[in-house]
Amino acid sequence: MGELLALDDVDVSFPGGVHAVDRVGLHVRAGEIVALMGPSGCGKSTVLQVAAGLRAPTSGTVTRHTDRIGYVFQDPTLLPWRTTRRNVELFGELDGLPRTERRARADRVLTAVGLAEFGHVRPARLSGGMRMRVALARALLVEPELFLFDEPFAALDELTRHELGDELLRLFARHGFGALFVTHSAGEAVYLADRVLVMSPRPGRIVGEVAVPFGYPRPPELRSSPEFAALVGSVSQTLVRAS
Amino acid sequence: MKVRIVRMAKKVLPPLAVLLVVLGAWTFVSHVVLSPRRRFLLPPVDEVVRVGFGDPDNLAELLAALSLTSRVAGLGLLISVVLGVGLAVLMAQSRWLERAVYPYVVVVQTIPVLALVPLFGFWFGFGFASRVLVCVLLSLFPLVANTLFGIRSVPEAQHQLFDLHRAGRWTRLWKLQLPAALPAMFTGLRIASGGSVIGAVVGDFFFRQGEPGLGVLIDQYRSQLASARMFAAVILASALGIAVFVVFGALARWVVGRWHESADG
Repeated sequence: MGELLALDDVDVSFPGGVHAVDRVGLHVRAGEIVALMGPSGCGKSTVLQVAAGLRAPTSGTVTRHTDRIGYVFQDPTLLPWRTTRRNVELFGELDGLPRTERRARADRVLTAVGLAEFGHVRPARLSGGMRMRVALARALLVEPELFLFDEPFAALDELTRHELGDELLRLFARHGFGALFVTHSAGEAVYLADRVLVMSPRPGRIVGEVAVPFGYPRPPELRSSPEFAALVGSVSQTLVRAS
Repeated sequence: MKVRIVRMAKKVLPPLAVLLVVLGAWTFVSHVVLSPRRRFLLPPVDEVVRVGFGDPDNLAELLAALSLTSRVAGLGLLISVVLGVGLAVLMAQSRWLERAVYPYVVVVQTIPVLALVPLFGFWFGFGFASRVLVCVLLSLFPLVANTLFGIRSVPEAQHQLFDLHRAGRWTRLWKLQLPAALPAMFTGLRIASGGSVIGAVVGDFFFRQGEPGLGVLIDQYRSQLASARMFAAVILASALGIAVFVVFGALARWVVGRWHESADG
């Protein structure tokens, strides 16, 4: 499988001298989900922004082998004056896709996240979980090869979080993108990812990697199995030792 | 249906009660407190209605003046919208431009308009153009300040959406900054429209050439001690201000009410 994203020796310091990220190296290949977890403030979101090209590293190299990148923010970050459908079409407009192509893709991705009937509704009338689905659909519109997630489900209740996690795995099975998933939940990391990278508190370094042996598709029952619990425990242990 | 009527009544009745109390006090003062000789200080309500609005000639004169004042205020506001939004967009392009231009916008706001009256007269004549200019002076600042505030208040994450797809300056302005600023712009527009009406009436007092506006009539009636007619003109000027306020409030609800809660105000 081809490599999609490579960060080597990435260092980030903020103006004012805060050293946020310390020589982080990570690679994401096509068809794998890599979870990046760490305590809050450890710089994991910064790493993701560097990966997306939203922020330049102070030193080190970032290599993206694709332009089709889907980025999902911590908040849905929808434009409140646009309807669901027009929010989903946004990246198509910015990339200059012809209108008919944009429409067709928007229909497809809205159906994929189960919101086909909500195209004309504005975000204010949607629930938190539905807004996050719109954000997912918006990212899917560019038919991404690489998906970057910045704690997308952190603000949702547990049930919705699990639902969207399952949704994500279904999309993953269908589209086979590679993904880097930032989270502070060990359970979420283990459930979604092939590999879990653990970061230390600031300045964030990668201090551990836990391989997840479960194959895909992963049934929701996996969450209540003893093997799953043991692995979540070991990831948490790594996290505790790092801090 | 019944519920709606009750709700309407709850909304309308209290201010209506206050209005009746005020009219009652007014009637009491002009009929009982003031002697007939001094009654011109506060002419009775019925006289204001009869002489001011009931007499066809006087009504025609008032309506012609109202129309002129509306045109002055409308044109002044239009110029302010174009100029104000233009300046705000310009300043939003860089902090450097904002630092360079903003002080002068504040200066325009803070110069006492009366101090400029002689200059405007020399430069643009003592008529329509100068009156419009007073309106522009009184309505420009809220438009610039609110539009700029709206553009600057776009959340960073929404900008990042556009960063991800390398959107250009104009795409960003058109698809992100201006729509996001619309609620603030409407707040500014509402304040500015009131300022423009005030400017049109006040401007009349100094720039009296050409067709008379409401301000000209008010001043004429004052000098003739025709106080019932003066009151009628004042009421009409206030009504114009209120109408403008209501119209722009409704416009704001219509444009941004579907997605922004501030439009309810």
